[in-house]
Amino acid sequence: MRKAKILVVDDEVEFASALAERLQLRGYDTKAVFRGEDTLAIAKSAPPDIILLDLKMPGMNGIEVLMTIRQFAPDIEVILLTGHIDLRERIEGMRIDDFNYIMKPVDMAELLEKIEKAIEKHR
Amino acid sequence: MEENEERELRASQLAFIGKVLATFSHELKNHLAIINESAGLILDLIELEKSPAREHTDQYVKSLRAIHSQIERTLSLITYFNRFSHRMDSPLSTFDVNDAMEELFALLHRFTNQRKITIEKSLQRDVPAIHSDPARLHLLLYCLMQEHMGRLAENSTIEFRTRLSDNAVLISIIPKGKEPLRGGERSGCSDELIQGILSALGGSLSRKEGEETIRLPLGASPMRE
Repeated sequence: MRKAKILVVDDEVEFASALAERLQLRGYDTKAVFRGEDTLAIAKSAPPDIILLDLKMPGMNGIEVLMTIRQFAPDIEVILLTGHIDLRERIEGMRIDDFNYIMKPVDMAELLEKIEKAIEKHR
Repeated sequence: MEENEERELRASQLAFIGKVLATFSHELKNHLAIINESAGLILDLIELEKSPAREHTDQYVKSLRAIHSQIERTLSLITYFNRFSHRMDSPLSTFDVNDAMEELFALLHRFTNQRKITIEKSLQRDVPAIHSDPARLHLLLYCLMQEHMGRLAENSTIEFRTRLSDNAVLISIIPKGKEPLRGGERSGCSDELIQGILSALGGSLSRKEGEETIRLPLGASPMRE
């Protein structure tokens, strides 16, 4: 079976690289990028199955990336990475609870569960 | 300075402090996330790659697990700290009284622990959220807690209970312990301050046989300044 392709996006280079490598060790085909703009370029040229996307990044932030990807590649599953959950935080009029997200620092068991669910949904 | 200007300055200062605390805790979480992933990667390389047994591998694993466990503890505290900081973002918000109390107790744990006072919680889990000022509720609870701590001897307990009654969330504060021989200390909060906070919250306070109960009506419209 083809390995699921996962793109890890975070402006914290060490975080994104280590997380991508840990997922690689667990059998996924991973790549780390550190800017929203690069994420869009990869999503167009070599779309991954899943994107782990940091919510708060300088430049193009996670929300802008998410909304743009939804327009041209709605099949890509996106799991948001966020440092904290503010219950009032809303994304385009929707509550953060309506999205697939995981808190940073990441609990690996929880992340793997979310990834497997996203893969099921993607198939 | 005019009274209104003074009040505005105070409000701005509070909002500023809240912003700094929220940013600080967010940044700290990012740093911990990097430490966590880096330690996790080393652990994965040792455990998942099943490389031939090397000397000291057990010690590496033990140390990495200790790092992981300390990060978990720190994170839990930072999460409370971050939520506490965001309570000052706007004067009024809809929040769960139990959550607000849990974060206050977690952040004051070291303070109560040093005074050898145990905080006991009996929180009714399904109390509805209220629309009020959580930062002021924090200050009110801190004032009342400080007052009891000043009166109680070491190794005493203060119980906090929440429950829903007659369209209001009730918070009862029940001291359990003896008064110290040297006599109690007075809290830093004046009765006027306590009454002012209560009135801003649209709530009331009753005292009976050493117990205090704060009543926060669900439908109350807290005063806006």
